[in-house]
Amino acid sequence: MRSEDPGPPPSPELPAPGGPDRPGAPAEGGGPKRLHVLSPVFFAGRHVRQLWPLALLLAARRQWWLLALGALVLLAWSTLEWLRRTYALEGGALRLEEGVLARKLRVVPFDRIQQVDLVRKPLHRLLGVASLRVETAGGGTAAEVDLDVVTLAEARTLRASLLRAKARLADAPAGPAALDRPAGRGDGEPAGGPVGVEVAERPAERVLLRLRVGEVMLAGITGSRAAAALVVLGPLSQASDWFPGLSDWLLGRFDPEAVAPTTPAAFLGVAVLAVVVWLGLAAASSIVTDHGFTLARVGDDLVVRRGLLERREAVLPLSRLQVVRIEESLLRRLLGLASIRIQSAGRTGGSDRTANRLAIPVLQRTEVNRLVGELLPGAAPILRLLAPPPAARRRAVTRSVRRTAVVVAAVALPLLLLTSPGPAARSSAAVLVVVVLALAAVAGLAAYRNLGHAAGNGFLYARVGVAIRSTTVVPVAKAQSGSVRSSPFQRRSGLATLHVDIAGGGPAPRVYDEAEPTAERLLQVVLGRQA
Amino acid sequence: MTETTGSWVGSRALDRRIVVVWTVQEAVGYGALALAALAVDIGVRLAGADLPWPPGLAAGLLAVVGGAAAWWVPRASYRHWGYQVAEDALELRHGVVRRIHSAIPYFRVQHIDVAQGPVERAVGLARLVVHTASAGTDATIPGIAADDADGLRRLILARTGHGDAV
Repeated sequence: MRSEDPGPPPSPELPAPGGPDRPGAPAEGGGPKRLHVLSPVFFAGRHVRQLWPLALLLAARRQWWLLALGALVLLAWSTLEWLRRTYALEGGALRLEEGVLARKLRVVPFDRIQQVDLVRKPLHRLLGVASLRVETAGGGTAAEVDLDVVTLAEARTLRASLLRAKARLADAPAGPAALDRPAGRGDGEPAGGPVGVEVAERPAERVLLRLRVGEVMLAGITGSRAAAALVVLGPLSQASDWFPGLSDWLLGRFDPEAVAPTTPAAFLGVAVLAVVVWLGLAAASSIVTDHGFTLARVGDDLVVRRGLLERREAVLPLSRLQVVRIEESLLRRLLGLASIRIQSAGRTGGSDRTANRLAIPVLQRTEVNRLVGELLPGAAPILRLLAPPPAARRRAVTRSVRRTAVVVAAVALPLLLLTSPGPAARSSAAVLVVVVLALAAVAGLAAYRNLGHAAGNGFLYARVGVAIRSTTVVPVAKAQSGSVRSSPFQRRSGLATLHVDIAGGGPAPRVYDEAEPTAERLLQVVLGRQA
Repeated sequence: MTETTGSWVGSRALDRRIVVVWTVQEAVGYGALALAALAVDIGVRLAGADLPWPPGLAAGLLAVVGGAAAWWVPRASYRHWGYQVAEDALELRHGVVRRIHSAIPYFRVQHIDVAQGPVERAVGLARLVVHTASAGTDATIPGIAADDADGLRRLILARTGHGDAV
């Protein structure tokens, strides 16, 4: 079930990379063009930004002639680059050819263009030129095509033709494709005329989830911040073992009778107090970021508001939502809680911040299905997950034990060689190693128990994790591509892993260690060939 | 679903010349490594240190192992490489140690690069890099005859359809 139109039937004989319905004639013509004559200066400038330590070194050693030679070579190389780099609007696409030794031809169809930016830095303004950046929905952070530099007039003409060609193609419903950045939502725009109309069209807000103060505090206490605190506190309580002089030094500064916890009970009291203070800090920091957390639906947008001092509001058009991930740590599973992360197709590569702003810090597990259904209509209730074959259990356990054994050996062997401990220390160390390996086996079993997948209703569900169990819900219609991968170890047990590639940043959904035919069948599901 | 890697129904193999390209690339890499080892070996000896093995042994071993790898890896990779321009998606199967079968629906394609390194240019090959909106997409077909690369690019772009494909 794809939401997108698969397009015209394939016609390989066509000379142009598009059907006859792809207009582009007004934008095209003229053949390949070079950039502005001043471009080599800008290329060289970009190289210098990478080579400046070398230049600094040469300058410091007063090897001016070498520096001059380097500058000459750089300019010559940049000129060669300029000679080789051409662009053209041709066959419904923007073509960029470049490269002196390694050559590259890039073809960007007009209707894939998301954004065309005209950039003018001070040097550009001084020289009367501009840089034109063309971006698609591609995964990288850099613009897919950067025409640095062209004359200002050429940049304007190019931008106009690209946007015109794209607008023509976008007559068909093309989803959320916008020519430029979406206008700042919620910003008090000084709209001239149709203010009343806009107000009238603003759809009603429907609150999906609101967290009370207690729940926000619970999120902090059961969250990763509190766990990190415990990880820090544990070793700190051992600090006096590592630095034998420390307690003496401390005792020398204070009245030992008043401060030193002389009895085990007093020591315990101090430890409990420390934990309470720390959990209080975790709860407080959670309140600062998430106070009054509200998730609401406004028209086709998802709106998240949160924050005590600084009120933050994040807006995500639902059509740009890619993946929903339900995370349950061990502690939260015991308390019947979960958290939800939302992954969207960011316009830029660094969508991690957006993901954090959209995350639901905590909610009752009984609420998960309702919210997943709101975020991804049709995805709830979450299907019963199928466990991978028994071979995956063996693999999970051996993998966990093997990895731990390597770490243990790396720590223990040098210790053994350097300190040459006595027999008593040796036997207690051996017991410790056995206990650690047994724990690793248990962790492996947990990893296997948490593995699971299901496919249906146009969604793929995949669960993975040891201490933190995370269930990913992927709309099949959002998958960009997919692959089935297998290592030699997996092939020996007939297993494989399915990767699903999703637009925007964040971890890619995976179905680990399924039987190879199952993984291949799931790939067909991802491709939309099977339901 | 039971096809073996590299030769499934309707699959195409890479151009055989890619073996030359990969061999040269591997050999250059291992050669540089062996030379570096030789330089360190000689340098340490000149500095007055006494090493338990004869000069050049480490570099020689590296050269032998590297030579064997430079011979074997490209040939094995070639045998395991296959791609298919299916009706709705581009499918690739490759990998000697880690096997990968990836599929990219045409209507997800954002843009396409035809790239050539210096060695590829010398033997008349090109590589097709297909980009989608996901950075994780694995869609590079190495070893296409330079004359065919443009045709393949057009073939794929002709099937991409409209919209922004996100």
